Amino acid sequence: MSIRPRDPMPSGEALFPAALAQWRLDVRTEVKRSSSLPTSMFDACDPMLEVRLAETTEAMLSCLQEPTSKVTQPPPSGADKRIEVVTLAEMKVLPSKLTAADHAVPDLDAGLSAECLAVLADACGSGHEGATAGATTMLREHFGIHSNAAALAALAELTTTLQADLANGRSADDLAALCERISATVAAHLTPADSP
Amino acid sequence: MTAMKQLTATQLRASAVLAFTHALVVAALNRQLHARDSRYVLDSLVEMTAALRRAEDLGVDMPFSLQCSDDRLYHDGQPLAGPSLQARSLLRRCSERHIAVLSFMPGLEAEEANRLLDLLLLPPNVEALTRQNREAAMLAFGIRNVRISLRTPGHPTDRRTTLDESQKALSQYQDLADCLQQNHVRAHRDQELAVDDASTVVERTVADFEEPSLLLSMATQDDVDRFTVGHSVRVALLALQVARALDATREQLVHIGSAALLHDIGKSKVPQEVLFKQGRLTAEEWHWMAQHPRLGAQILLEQSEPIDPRAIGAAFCHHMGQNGEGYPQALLPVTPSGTSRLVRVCDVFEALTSVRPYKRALTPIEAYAVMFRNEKDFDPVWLRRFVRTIGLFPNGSRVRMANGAEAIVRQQTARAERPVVQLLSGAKDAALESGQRDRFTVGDEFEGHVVRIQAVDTHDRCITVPPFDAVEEPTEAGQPVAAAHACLSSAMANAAAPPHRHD
Repeated sequence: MSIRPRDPMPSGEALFPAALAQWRLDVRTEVKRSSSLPTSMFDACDPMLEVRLAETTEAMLSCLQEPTSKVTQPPPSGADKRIEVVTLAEMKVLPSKLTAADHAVPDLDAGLSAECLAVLADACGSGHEGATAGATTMLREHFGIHSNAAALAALAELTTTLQADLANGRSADDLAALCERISATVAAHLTPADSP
Repeated sequence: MTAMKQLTATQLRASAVLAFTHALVVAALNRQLHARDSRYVLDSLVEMTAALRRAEDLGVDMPFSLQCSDDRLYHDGQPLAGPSLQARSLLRRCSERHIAVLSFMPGLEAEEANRLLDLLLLPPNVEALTRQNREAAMLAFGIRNVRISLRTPGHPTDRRTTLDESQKALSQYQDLADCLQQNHVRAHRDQELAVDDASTVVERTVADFEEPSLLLSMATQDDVDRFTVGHSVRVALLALQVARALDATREQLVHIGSAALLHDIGKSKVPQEVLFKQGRLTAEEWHWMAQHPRLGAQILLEQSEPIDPRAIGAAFCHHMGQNGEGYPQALLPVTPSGTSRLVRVCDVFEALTSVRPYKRALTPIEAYAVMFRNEKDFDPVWLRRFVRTIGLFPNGSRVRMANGAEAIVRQQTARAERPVVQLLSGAKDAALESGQRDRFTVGDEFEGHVVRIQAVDTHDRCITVPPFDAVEEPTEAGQPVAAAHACLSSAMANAAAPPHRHD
């Protein structure tokens, strides 16, 4: 693309906005005249447009010459960025949505113990040594629970397998066999202190 | 309805100045986080030198001079607030070396810039830039396209004994960002976190900023930060503001602020190419990304000092819905606590209203619309509490009134859509007359018209705001009546001027 303003741009700062507006108009007119692309697809006045077009073309050419090479993405720019579309109708109803629910005062510490217990149990079964040690300590100090990390780790591993199996549509017999394996593995890891 | 703004040449130059300065700050941060020759460092240096040349192309005077005080960076005597927010560690290094001005020539290449960072950032090189050693050091390091001027006695440092509110806010924001950056670097390197530092800086924020809107107005700075640091600081400030409105105790505030500040610490373990990928993530990349909440909880649990359970919970649960849906998939069913639910709402709101490598920023009102569109992902009570506290037009928002006047939102009221605004101009952009009333509550009547916000102005867009649906609110007798908003539609019809810019 070699689009240039028809008239030389005035150099004075005061004339700049007018010159810029004229240049924009010229560019858009030129693009509309010479291209079949809908102009709403891009900002014809984007100063980086030419660079990006060149880069994209270069990437396409290199891809044609070497089909195995990856097409590199053009660099980001404001004009290319995604923006979520929000309708006026969605904004219009916001105040009424605010009054729709009850005005209960939420509690910042609600459910803290239950959340903590679940997160610590997850950490115990994560197989991550440092986190397991920290979680075990917290379980003991906060909840009086003496966890068996090995049992939880085995349980976590088998649960993951079970989830994958379920996702793959395994038969009921297979699942029953897996449950037996889980039960046996956990039982083997349980120490007397962990037993009820 | 959005109208894109056309930038003038002056605005383009200002934007180029910010882009280069921001790239310099990011490159310095990358040098702290990664090895000298890592691709993250090299990429950011290439970006920085390219930004310098873009600035030159757009007519910014060369050499490009950056003045350094203890608190902020300046160009042409103008403070660069956005880049300064995350420049605390770079500014500290410059202060240690008594640097007053860094002047960059457009011939600067990435490798030379990397050697400059050796001089600026590495502790053994503090003495290299004394008056006696400076010339020799620059020659020895092969730095030809940067000039360094040292401070003379009386150089302004901005660390005045009596700081005004905005200076205090900038300094506090920098402390929060700096503390978090250090912790992300430590987590990335498997070192012990400085969690006490985080609590201390949050405690100071709680003590010094009764009303954190000034800090939050800094949070509106557009920056594509590399370390999710700006994001976490803003999430913490939002969470603090909501918690404060709930009359949380000082101790609760510190716990909640620290939890929100550290909620994304797990991202320090996610490869940057995944974290900042612009396109769709592959299955493997998504697996990495979805691990960051669990990694965050693990990092916190690894610490030798006990960590508050709220912080561990927020790190683990901030991508979970109210019943534990979302990710990560936990071993046992998880129901997020109140703190985690609040952090989730703040996290999503902040992400929607910030610039990301792959998206533009939404205005708050658009972000709320998106959040209510996906309402089931949030605890409804916390979502509504959040919107009521922050407001549909948060303090500091630039708005255009129905009569064409420009205004800024100053204060929230009991009704999220009816803040107090202060006029910056008269009707149809005319100048304000002296003695003219300039503060109004949206929805009130003035001279026969209902005061109404017609559009929200951001630096690059102008969003038309529709007349809101009538809202029923209880009267003193407990009977619902149509609120004053019922007359907004007619006020719209009577509005003196059309929106300034719209599609």
